[in-house]
Amino acid sequence: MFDASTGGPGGGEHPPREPDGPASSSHRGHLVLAEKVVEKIAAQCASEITEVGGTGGGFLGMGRQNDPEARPKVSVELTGAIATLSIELGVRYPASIARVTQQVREELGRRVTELAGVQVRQIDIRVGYLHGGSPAEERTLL
Amino acid sequence: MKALRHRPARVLPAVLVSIVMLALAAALLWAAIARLATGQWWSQLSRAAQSVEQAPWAAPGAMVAAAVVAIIGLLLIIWALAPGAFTTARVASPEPEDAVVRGGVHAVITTGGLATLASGAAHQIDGVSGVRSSATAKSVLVSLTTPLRSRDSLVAEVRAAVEERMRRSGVFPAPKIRVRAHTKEMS
Amino acid sequence: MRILAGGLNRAWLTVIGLVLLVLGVGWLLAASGLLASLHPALDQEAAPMRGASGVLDQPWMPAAMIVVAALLILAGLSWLVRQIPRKRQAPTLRFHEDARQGVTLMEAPVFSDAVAHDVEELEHVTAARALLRGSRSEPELVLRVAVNERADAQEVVDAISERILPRAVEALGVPFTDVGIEIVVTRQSRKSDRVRVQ
Repeated sequence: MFDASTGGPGGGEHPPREPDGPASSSHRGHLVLAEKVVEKIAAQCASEITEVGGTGGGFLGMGRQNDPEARPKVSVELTGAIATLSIELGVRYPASIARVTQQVREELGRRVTELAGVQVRQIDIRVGYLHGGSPAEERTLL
Repeated sequence: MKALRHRPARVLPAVLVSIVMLALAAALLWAAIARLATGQWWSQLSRAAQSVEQAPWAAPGAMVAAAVVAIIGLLLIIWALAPGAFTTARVASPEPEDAVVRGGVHAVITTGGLATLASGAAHQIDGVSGVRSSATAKSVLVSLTTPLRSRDSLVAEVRAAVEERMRRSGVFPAPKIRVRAHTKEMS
Repeated sequence: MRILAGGLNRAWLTVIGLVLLVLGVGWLLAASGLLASLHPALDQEAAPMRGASGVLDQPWMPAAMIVVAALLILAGLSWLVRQIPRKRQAPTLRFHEDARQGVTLMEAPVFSDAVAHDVEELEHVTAARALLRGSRSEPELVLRVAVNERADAQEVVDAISERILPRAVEALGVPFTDVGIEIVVTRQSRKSDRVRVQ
């Protein structure tokens, strides 16, 4: 059973007692950890949609290797129990980009809510590349 | 799709005239700044102003300058108004379904491409040792060199081959093909 | 593929040419004495530039020259800059329906690169470049395709129309308003070093 507010499964050591509240460092620490967890969940879910690929490496959008096998890059902002996601992914060409991205939005929203217990309000998607074809693609000949 | 098949854009005269404008501006700036800095005009300028004061309309130097200006003006007008040859030729293209393209598919081939196709077709004819082609959208000129002294049948063969190539490429209207052959004796 | 300033150039060249022509011809007419009846200053023997030194010495002259120079520089530079060929590419493409659920964005080159790659897979095509103009709802595609000299241009155009365009429309989700294909012919017969391994 997963609990978003402690950032990890079960027991273990607790940080020294501090006054609680949104500004306390333990609370902030928990928030950051929770965002990272949601990011991982979201990336995993997105990559499971067959027509989606991810990105990896690179700097400022240059040299980034487009890797259809990798997980898409996700960043999450948690405000209370509401999450807004921002994803950068690749889509198989020539799949309908509108359809695939809407599918990502719907499935991701559902699964992240299921698994992480946060409400997903908004998912912004940036399609960084289109990768050609499934292994079964036919050669085009004249 | 007008960008694909257009008349020459007259970039060269535009660049030349803008450079002249910039040079003129530089001269004016320099004269003005020199005057403000030193309190005096550039000596050539004040001498020129003085000599020009006396000149009547009919001074020979002035008339020559006026004629030159008028001629340059006329040249610019002609350059601007003459359409010039199209840069590409049309290629037959299919009517696509509305679901794919609502307007049309416009295909063109460059005049350089036409020349390359013509040269390629000519090269394949026996008896041709060298080819050079040039093309406009309306006509293609093929210049052959051949060691044969009797050239007429070769010219006819090359013309037929190039015409066939143009036809298969779908260029329309089919450009007029002119073939010239030049005998280069084997050394 | 890129757009040049043909109309602009021809218009301004005509204007400037006309001005020069009128000035030059006007002077020659005055010099020939034909305009003498209009105004005493236009008489053949009159000195039109009398007072030139006086004008030059006016206090506002340097300022006037600087103003004129500035205008010339502005005009000359902007005209020169306009000679640079322009792509006029489509802005970021939007695929979402309801922005409140989230936006879906894609840069136009991502799409056109995929189409160009598709075209390059065709037989006899040695290289291809694509450009998307307009917007996602009114897209215009321009292709520049290098074809080997042995191939028939028409066949390549047909293949593009039958195979490449439908795939592009499937991905985009909207039919093209117009498609332009520019064919260049090369002597190369091999594509650039790429090997497909299944």
